[in-house]
Formats: sequence, C-alpha cells, structure tokens
Amino acid sequence: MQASDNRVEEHLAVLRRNYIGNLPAKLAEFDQQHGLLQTATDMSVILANLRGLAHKLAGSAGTFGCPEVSSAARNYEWILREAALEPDCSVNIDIIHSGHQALKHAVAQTLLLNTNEQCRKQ
Amino acid sequence: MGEKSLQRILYAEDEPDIQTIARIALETVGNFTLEICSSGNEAIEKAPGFKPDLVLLDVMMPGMDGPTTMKKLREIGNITDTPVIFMTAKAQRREISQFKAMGALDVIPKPFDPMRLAENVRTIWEQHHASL
Repeated sequence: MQASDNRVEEHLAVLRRNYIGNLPAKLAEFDQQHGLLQTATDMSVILANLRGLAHKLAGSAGTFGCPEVSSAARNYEWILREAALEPDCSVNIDIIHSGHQALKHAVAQTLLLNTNEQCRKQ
Repeated sequence: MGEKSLQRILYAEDEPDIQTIARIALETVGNFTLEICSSGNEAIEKAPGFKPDLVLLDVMMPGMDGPTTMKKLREIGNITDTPVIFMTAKAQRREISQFKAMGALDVIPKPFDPMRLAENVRTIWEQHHASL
C-alpha cells in the first residue's frame, strides 16, 4: 500500500507541476476578459465571464496545491460578484483591477516558488 | 439486509484539470469504476447505461448546472433514487443546507484533497446507508 501511495503522490506531483506551468495560459484568459472591460458597452457579460473563470481557478488551484492562487482567485470572484450587483456606470474598475493584479501577483509567486523547487532538485 | 456496495461513480465536471485529478483520486486511490462527464447533458446521456451507484456533480457548469442536472437525472427511471453529492467551492453552511434540501446527499467542498476524496465519498455513502 505504501509503495502504491508513493506512486500516486509522485503522479500528483507531476500533475501539479504541469498545472502550475499552465497558470500563465489561464491568466491570459483573465487578461483578455479584463481588457474588454475598458471598452465594453455591456459589462455584465464580461463580469460574469471573469467571475466564472475566477470560480473555476479558485477550485482547481486549491486542489492542485496552489493556495495563494486559490485565495487570490476567490477574492477576485468576490470582487466581481459585488461589482455585478452595481449598474454599469457605477462599477469601480479600480477595485476590479486590484483583484486582477493580486491574482497576477499570486500566479507569479507560485511560478517562482515552483521554479526554485525544481532548481533545488537538480 | 445487506448494504448496497459503492462501486460505480458517475462524475460530471467541466474543468479538465479537475477531471484528471479526480480520476486519480477515485479510480487509482479509491478503486471505483468511474465515468467522467464534461457536462450535465453528457451525464444525463450516459447515466442510464452506466448505472452508477452514486453521482458526483459539480455545481457550476456551463449550460446545465449541477442542481438542474440532478433534477433531470431524477426523471430517468433507473437513476431516480441514485444518491447525488455536489462538489463546489460554494460550500458555506447556508448553501450546503440548500443543496441538501434539493435532495443531495451531501456537499464536498472544493478544493479537495485527492488522497482523501475517495474516503470522503465512502464516509458519506456509509453514513447515508446507516441512516436508512
């Protein structure tokens, strides 16, 4: 049982490294939607898209052992949920931007930690 | 009366990364026979043939969400009484009560520990059958 558990954990570790490696691509999806906010005539659709992305990332990042990314995504989701309750003209873009920036920072930190871990193993 | 054993799980989850890790958690670690569906519609299509003992449903899925999928599954003859567990990041006490009031057995919060998921599912299953 011990040996098979170790193999599973090794497999999960590989999946985790792959997941972290794909975080920039996930972030790019946020960047694309966030960019549309600047010129959108109907922000509700973009806010809903961003919120869906944040919700999914919060769940998957936590499951793959990236608590900082999960926490930042959950916070961003909350910001977007609150923003969606406001009429378009009252949406505070700065707060949404801060959530987006915090998420980017969390991803950068996680990538750096992962890189450092890989370097130490070599 | 013999307790029905938990062998076959149908899991509806649209996120590919979660599908991958859930397959390890439930098949490799848990030794369950697993059918993963990427949407509520796919779950409804595959459930009658797969005949799961238990259905795991992600709550937030594009198109048909988890609760709607559960409602549709209840309309299928051989799935009507199949227990459902929701999996969601929305796992506050109020939401859990709402999901249970809809008819779900329980809610497993995301993120989940892939080394513990099978055990959590079994525990919920055993508690449910102990109460029957």
